[in-house]
Amino acid sequence: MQLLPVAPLPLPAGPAAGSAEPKEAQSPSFGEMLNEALEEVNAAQVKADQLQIKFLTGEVQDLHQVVIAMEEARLLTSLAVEVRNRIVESYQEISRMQI
Amino acid sequence: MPLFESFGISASALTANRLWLDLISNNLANIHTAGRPGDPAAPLYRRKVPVFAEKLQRVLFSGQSSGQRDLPAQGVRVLAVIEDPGAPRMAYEPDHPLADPVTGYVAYPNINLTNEMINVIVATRAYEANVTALNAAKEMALRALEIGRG
Amino acid sequence: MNLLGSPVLQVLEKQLDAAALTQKVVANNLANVNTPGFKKSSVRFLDELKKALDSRALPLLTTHPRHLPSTVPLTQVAPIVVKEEETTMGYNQNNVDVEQEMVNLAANTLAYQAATRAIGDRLALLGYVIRGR
Repeated sequence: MQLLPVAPLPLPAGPAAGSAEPKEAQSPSFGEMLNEALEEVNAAQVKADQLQIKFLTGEVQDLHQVVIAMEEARLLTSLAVEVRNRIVESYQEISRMQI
Repeated sequence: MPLFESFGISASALTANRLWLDLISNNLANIHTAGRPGDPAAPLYRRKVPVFAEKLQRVLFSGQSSGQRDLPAQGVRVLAVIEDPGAPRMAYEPDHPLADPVTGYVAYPNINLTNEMINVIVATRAYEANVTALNAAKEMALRALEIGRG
Repeated sequence: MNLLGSPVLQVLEKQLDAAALTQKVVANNLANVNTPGFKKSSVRFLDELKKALDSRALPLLTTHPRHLPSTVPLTQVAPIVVKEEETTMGYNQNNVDVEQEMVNLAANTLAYQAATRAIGDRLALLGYVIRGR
């Protein structure tokens, strides 16, 4: 899911884009996709926590790595929360429909 | 304990150059301190000079890569403060209490004012350069903290 | 859902790592400007990055896991610290050029700040898209 164009730099085809395709080819169920996404969110938060601890003990010296990991975790969590809100909204909308 | 290695490197340089400046000040203060060589009651002041060396930190590793190695780029440290072994400056002052009774010469420290002033400039310049490096590192860290805030 | 796997983001993060390393190396050079016998070091990263991003290079056929590929994948590009042993600047075998190091310091700080600004803007954009406002 590349959200932004990357025109100025000549980039390789991108291993990131390639890895997404085999998943779509098998068309998993919605529940599986949700589970995978939540695993990713959890992994990002765990990584951010680990980097913070490593920074406090002095193992990691680069502040930007910690900040970027925290920001990524925040974005993924925010995305997950938004998706949840939309799902709940649409469920409520459907349940309000008069038959 | 420096929070970042870069701060530690610059801090070590500030300390070392400050020490050098103190030694130079001491040399200049004692430029007229006469002494009699060999006499413990009136020791001859000798010019003090620091010896700089690159600081290497020996780190022990455990886990996947066990063993030890020297981490490079840790800054500078003062290995030792040595005394200039050169001959003292002799001045003919037969009335001086510390004058040699035979020749009438007094031994003064071999400190050249011009050289010491040049060293003051060198030490100050190095100090300022490292302050700039420290500020640059601090600025970078502050910018990194603002990544998510924009 | 590879939200944050964009190659540009990876490149920017590597740029930040290289800039942080360069800051340490330059600070060490400046700290040892008066140390006798000290030889300055520099960081080589842009060449490696250009080689990794050069899509015109012909890829070699690798049929065995131990074959070395001709192009370095982006994830393995790393900055290298190079020590310059041959030159001399002063009477005591020290080869640190203070003016050059100060210039490197300024340029590196700007590069770091530019990269943080770029990453910050990209992530802020993602956040805006996610929240819808």
